Amino acid sequence: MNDQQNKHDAAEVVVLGGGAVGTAVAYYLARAGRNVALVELGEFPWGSSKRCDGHAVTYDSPPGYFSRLCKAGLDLFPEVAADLDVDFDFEPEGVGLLIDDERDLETARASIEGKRAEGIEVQFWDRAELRRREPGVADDVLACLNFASDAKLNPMRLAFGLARRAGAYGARLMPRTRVTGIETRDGAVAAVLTDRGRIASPVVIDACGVWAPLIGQMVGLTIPIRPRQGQILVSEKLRGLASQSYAEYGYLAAKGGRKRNGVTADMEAYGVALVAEPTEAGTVLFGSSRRYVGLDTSSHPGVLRAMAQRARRFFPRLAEARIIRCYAGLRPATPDGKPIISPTPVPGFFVAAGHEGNGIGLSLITGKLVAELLGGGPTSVDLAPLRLERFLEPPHAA
Amino acid sequence: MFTKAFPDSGKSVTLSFEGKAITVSADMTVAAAVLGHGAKHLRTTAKSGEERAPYCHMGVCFDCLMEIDGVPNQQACLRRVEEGMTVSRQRGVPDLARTEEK
Ligand SMILES: Cc1cc2nc3c(=O)[nH]c(=O)nc-3n(C[C@H](O)[C@H](O)[C@H](O)COP(=O)(O)OP(=O)(O)OC[C@H]3O[C@@H](n4cnc5c(N)ncnc54)[C@H](O)[C@@H]3O)c2cc1C
Ligand code: FES
Repeated sequence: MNDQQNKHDAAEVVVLGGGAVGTAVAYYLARAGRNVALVELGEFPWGSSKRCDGHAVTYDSPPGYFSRLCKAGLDLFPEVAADLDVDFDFEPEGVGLLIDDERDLETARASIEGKRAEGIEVQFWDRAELRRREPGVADDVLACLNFASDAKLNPMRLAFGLARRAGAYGARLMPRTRVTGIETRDGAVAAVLTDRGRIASPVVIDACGVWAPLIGQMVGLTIPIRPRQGQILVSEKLRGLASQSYAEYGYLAAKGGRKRNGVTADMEAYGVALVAEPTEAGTVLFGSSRRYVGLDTSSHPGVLRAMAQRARRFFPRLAEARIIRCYAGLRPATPDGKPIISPTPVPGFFVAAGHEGNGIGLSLITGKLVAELLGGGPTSVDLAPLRLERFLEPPHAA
Repeated sequence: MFTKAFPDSGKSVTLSFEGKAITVSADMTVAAAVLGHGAKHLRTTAKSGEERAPYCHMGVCFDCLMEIDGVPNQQACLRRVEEGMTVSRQRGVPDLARTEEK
């Protein structure tokens, strides 16, 4: 093989996948002066990052490592918003967790201190306060834990803006280009093969979300990511439904196995829990569902019905509103729910994927950490819990 | 190039558009009727208040929203005109809190 490549056919780093994660990785690398190419089979974005909600949040994890990672990720948005020339509608207006079960009041209150200790702004709204702030919420909702700094944004504009700014910093953007193979030499990454030619490079970042395992296979690696489908309903444009984003507290509690009030067998089977997000455009997005159905992104009437019922339980006025669209996307889920941001046994091959339901919120911190990792210095967050090896070496039985 | 949305009945109907009576063929959509009577826009947007007119005429773009017989956010391109209909522009987005008080 020939190292005298045309310089256009070579890069210091090739990022694979142009979703929120891949574009953020390319952005931070290009900003740090790296010679980087970003390869995406569609446009920026094309996969999960254009079929999701737009929450960048801290509410959905108990205090601890992952919660702090989410906070670190959220904190990066204002600075990047100022640096991009695309406005991605970043609004840190808060996300409320609605509580409708007496038994949750105590645990909810108890969780506040731990989150506050991590610098996260949490408020407890009792029933009167909640009704005052959100008159459209059902009468029997008891309280709300409001994560006052949690944010929403437009994920499509985010990924598009990151790619564009990465390009301005010198990254080579390669939309409409499919990765078909990875060439190795003496076991280490040597080049990326695409349907538009070969790019010689010693470093590859696999940021292909639910497709990351297919890229991993090209170098013989098993990357344990499964697509976890989620569906969304979109309301007509209106006011008076929800003035900010909400989710249901009971769903987090239900992970412990307890049954939620008013949950039907369908809701249980489809993993349905309320998520409401009023968008900048005036529509309101309603989710959520969680199912393992392969790469299927078709809408399922039974799931949509269960989601609509769940949403009406918390926002009865939805009965008056029309639904104008629906769509489904795929969360890249790992066995322990945390992403993989990691080198691998294959020298030069890195993984930045598996962010499940937090890939938008964690996009920037992932980009920053990958840039630090490749820089060789210490990373600003300990990456040990996110290493691929945690899945490769099963712990020995005691 | 243009054909009527519904078969020719030879009839006409009178409806109210922004408080003004207009008489049109009974075989058209509300969108076509008000455009034919010189309306340049059917709604204004929520954020900037910009004027919008029908774009797709087939139910996809939601740029033809009007208030029809008191019901907000109706797609004027999908509704056939009817005798006595009251039609006005959709100004910004409707407020569910307000309709609840009614
Ligand atoms: C219904 C729903 C709601 C969600 N809501 C939120 C939310 O509110 N907040 C949040 O943080 N997260 C949310 N998520 C999760 C979020 O969507 C994902 O975590 C995130 O989009 C993953 O980004 P990614 O860049 O890793 O993957 P993707 O956006 O899927 O990017 C991977 C890219 O790789 C490309 N690719 C694949 N194979 C190849 C190949 N061979 N060659 C070249 N390119 C290739 C694909 O085209 C794709 O564009 C939600 C998910 C769903 C389904
Ligand atoms: S003109 Fe497009 S929906 Fe009516």
